[in-house]
Amino acid sequence: MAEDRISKLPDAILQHILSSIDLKQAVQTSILSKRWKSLWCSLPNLDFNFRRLAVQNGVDLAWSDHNQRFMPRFMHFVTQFLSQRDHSSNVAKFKLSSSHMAGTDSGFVEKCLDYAINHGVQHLDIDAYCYSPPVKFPDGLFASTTLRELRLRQYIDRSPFELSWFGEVDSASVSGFWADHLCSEAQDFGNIVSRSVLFTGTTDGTDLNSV
Amino acid sequence: MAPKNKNPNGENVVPEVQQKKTQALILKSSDGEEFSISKSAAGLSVAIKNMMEDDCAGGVIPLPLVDGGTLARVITYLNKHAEDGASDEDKRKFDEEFLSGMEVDVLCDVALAGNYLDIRGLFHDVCQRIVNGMKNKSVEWVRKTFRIESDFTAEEEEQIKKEYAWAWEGVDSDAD
Repeated sequence: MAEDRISKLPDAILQHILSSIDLKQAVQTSILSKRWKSLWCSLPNLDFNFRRLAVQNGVDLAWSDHNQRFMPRFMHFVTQFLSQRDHSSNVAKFKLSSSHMAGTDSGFVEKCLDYAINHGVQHLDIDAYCYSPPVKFPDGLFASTTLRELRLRQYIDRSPFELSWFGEVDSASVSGFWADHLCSEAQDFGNIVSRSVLFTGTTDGTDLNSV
Repeated sequence: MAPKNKNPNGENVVPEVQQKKTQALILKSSDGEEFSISKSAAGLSVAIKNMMEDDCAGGVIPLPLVDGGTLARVITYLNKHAEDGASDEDKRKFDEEFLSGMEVDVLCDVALAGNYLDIRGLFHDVCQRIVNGMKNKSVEWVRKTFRIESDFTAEEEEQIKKEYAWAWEGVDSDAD
């Protein structure tokens, strides 16, 4: 007699499997049966991708106004996901890849950073273009004992990030730091942040690998 | 299902590659079957390697969480990956064939064993097979493929969809 073998696998294995499925579909598995209802809630690797979600929702992103129109839905998805997630479960990886053709609300990015930091994130990767005001990093960012890798990406020649904040940085616990395509202000950035920090690909071509 | 690596007398058939290797140990499945395996092949399992190092087993390592049928499959995999002169391409082809013939139940058993025995490559590949059966598939498809029976009432199901409405945007319910 055919039986439901997969549902008898331990949570850790099922979550490993769900980690290879897109977050949206992972949430949808909650409807499979009671066994699956809450599995997605404690997934440790969160990868929010604007483009992928748009495609799944049948949105064509060829035009920038489509990007702008889809932005609230993307932010809604991320916000709902985080608020309905199990808050006692830590986050290992947090990746936010937003639109390159539409601005991302800086308050929203700050909330994402807060959530990630408050949930013990180890790998943090933010790729978002924010209109002013610039993103303020949460105080806990470099006080974090868990953070191992921080990656900030930006494809517009203007940094959305509040660079002066990094005066407070103690990056001893962070082994990798990437700031791709930041503007030339990144040089100041490099002077502030300690030597263990690694920069790649600033827009003016400055090599900051050995600050 | 009967393990395939037995001859008609019920003895375990030891693949040739194993016979060439002098150092061997015995793995004992949950249902009491014993399998001979070279130390080099067994060592590809981190868990077995640790047990060998602890030398707690006296040449026989009991694996109470793995049944004979599954253990036979795992050993086939380990032997191939420990084979002298097997190129990466050979192994890749073997893995492909090895996994493609498996029913979902078997995939689940092998995933469990791969995790327990800490055989990273096997665990990863077998999970990927399971993922392929779910990825971009409708709920109904996944239920059917993995024989998952819903224990929700229609009302409960509607309630969950409402609760997570943000994850159902753009999903045509008829496509289920």
